[in-house]
Amino acid sequence: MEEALLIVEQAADDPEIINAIFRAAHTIKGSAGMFGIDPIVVFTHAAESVLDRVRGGSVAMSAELAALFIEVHDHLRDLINRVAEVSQADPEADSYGRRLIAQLETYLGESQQAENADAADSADMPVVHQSSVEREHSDMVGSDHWHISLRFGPDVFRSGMDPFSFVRCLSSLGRIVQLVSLTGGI
Amino acid sequence: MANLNPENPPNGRIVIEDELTIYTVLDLKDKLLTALSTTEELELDLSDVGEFDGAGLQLLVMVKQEAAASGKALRLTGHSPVVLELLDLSGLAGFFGDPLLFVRPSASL
Repeated sequence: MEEALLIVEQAADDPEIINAIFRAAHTIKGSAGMFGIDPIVVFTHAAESVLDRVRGGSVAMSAELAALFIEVHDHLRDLINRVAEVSQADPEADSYGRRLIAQLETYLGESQQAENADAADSADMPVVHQSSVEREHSDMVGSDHWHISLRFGPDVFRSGMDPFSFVRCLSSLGRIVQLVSLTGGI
Repeated sequence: MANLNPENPPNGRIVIEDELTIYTVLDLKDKLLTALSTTEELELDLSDVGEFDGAGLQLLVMVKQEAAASGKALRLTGHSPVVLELLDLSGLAGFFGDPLLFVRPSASL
């Protein structure tokens, strides 16, 4: 991710590089979610949201934003190291993280309390088609509806994974309104 | 790691002990299918199940389907908390059709 960020400072508009950063953030978020490391999930989610806007063209990459992402990257590395070292919570780092999230959110065009609980409650996931939603300016983020279909290959258990850990990870990011398990493949 | 307590063959009841997970399903599969083949109705007592994962759930689904395919009945009883939780999460309580009561903490609106 760092490499891509340093390049983007110079090649601000290259979509491939933005994509690379997005994918890196997305992977980190996914892995953190798999292990239940919520602070990293929340933090990367904010970064990912902004990157998504950059990809979509609604936010322009700039030297300023790139510099913010360098800070984001460093903070993320710090978070990961702290998890790896099983360090105690660091309030200074946490408030720094919240400040970064607030800065990221200015690019999302809304003000939101960066409370973990609010972030977790904000997205509903009923079984309806995703619609792109204009976010309301309110304390709670306007609801995003997602229809998420998880299809697992026959080797999922053999690979040491449990489909329901994915489900639990998703439920830490939003609220499951309905879940249907398809048993035809068993 | 015997997880089976065959108190039974006459009335087809098996108590599954402790682990119903990826680590035990292979063993359990053979025993459950064998037990199913010897009775018309098999009851699985899940009150001792302390660990239950996707693999365990998949096994129960498979045995349920086997029972249906061979015109037999499978009943799950004594659902322990971990069993209830995953059955609820997976939305499969109805699939098994056993009487259950889910108590959810009331959500604030």
